[in-house]
Amino acid sequence: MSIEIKNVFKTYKNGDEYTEVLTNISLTIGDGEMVAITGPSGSGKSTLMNIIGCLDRPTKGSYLLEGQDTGGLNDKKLAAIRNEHIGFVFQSFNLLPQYTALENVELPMLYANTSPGVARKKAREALITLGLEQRIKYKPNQLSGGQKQRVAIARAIVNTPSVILADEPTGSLDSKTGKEVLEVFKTLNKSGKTVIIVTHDPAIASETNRAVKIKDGVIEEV
Amino acid sequence: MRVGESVRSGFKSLLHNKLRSFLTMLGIVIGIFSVIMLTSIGEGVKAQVTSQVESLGANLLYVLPGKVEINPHKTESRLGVRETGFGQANNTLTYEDVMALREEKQLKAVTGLYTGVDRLDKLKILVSTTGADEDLKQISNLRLRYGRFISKADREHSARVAVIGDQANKEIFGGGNSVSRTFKLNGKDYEVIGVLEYKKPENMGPRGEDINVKIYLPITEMLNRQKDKNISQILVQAKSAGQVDSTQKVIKAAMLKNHGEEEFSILKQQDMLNAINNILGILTAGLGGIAAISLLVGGIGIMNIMLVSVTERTREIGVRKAIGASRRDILIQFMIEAVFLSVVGGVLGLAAGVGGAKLLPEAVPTIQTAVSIPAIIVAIVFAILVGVFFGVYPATKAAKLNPIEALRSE
Repeated sequence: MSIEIKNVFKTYKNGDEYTEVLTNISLTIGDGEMVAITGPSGSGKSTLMNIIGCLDRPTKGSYLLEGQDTGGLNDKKLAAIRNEHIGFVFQSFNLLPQYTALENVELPMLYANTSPGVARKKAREALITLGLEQRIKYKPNQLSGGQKQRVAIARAIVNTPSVILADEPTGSLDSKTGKEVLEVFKTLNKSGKTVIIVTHDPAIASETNRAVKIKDGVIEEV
Repeated sequence: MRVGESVRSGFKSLLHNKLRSFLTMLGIVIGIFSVIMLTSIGEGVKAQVTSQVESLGANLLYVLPGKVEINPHKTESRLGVRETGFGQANNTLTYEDVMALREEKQLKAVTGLYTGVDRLDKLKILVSTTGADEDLKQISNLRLRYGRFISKADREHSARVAVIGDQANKEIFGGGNSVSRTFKLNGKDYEVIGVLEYKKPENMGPRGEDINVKIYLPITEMLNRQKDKNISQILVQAKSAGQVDSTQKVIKAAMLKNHGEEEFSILKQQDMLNAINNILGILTAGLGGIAAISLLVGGIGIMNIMLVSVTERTREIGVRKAIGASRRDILIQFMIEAVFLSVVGGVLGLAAGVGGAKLLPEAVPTIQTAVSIPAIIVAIVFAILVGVFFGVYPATKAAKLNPIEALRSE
């Protein structure tokens, strides 16, 4: 799924002060690319990721997802896009603690009105794909960091989205586990998914085929 | 998300915090419990009093001294003062009235009643004595175990005879057939002509005294001993329940001949039922209202916990939104949690209330309860409404959360 960002500005209002986080950003990411967005903290990379993930809207400029302008979409449509087309992976995993691994993975499908039986079956398959067959009934607090992140990835891919958005996915993991998780992303990319990883770690950025560097809300290097 | 899934997920969240959910529910449990209990007690009293008033007979009329407005209507002038009062102070009924009424052919039975206090020499105590006419036997449906009731001749001759209740018979004579035995009141001999059958005492109602301690004397005998000849009340039995209204008119006309103005009141059973139901209805509603306040407090408890829960689960809301939950999904999820708390609390409270209302009369025999179906329905509907009402605000707050800020929260 192609991502086309054109002259995007993002300004936050804080009291009477306006802070410009993104300044005239234009970026195109093609279908099946694996891209790293890097930059120091406060550079605006997370904001850019939120806009790509349809969690946030640009103040100015346009964002076309597969040629469709997302600017005019309402909350419900954006929720549906997040649900169907985008898979999120977070640094802190963000699994729901009261749910088992399986139930966590089922959740995106339930929001898509998939029948509970189908959702269960697909969630199980996704977890097996990620090598978590033995951990299906475990709750997040019974899993290791790497396992949690793999559950989160299973949750991100279960609705077969075309874009995987990962925000510092290895940030909470030791380097060995981090590498394993990165391999998972590489495999996903090989299977045709667009993978966008936001990171400040140059080592990870070097593993992707393209790195976009952001500083002070401006793209420095593509 | 399908509603079934939302319910399941709401249920799971509540189970995740069992103690908190239970404590939150407790407010509603107590609220519904008190509504059911208090209205049941109110209804119980109402049913009890109503059945006792009805047991007096639908064809009875009471003539009482003084003007009693039992169903007051508004007068146009605000200056008017209503003349009221039963007491002996403005007692205007006389035995003449009883005699005048006895002449009326439309009345089935008439008796005057005089309530006095006499000294029972044998036990050296003061006892309550009741002066009555021979018709009281029929009017009050008195059953005699031994002997007979006061006769017309007894009344005409002011005979010193007495009909006594079962308990009175036991205390004065040690029980048994005491007909023809005598006892002293104020130093004078009275001959027992009848002993009443034992009757289970009723504890409430206008004439629900314990019949077993009664000592009935001919009313004329009692009046002869008094300076003023006023009597306490007159009981009239109409020929049928259908003739009560016309009988009331007859009584009024006959009474007005003796009295210049309407300084007496004629009450029908229906009047009393209306008045009692009025008072008890207000009482029940008042009790229910007080209980409803606790329900309100319970509802505020739900809102409070739901707000805490929304704050605590801000991150969860963010995650759910990121993976595709719409505002509606989040709204429904939190609404279901709130309504679930109040409904489960309501059902538990209902069970406790109905159980309590059934058990209370066994623990405290003087209290009777009647669980009213409308009260149950109102309580359950109210519980749901409390959940919805107090759930809307927290749920809306959750639904409106900005997903980015929600994800950023710790």
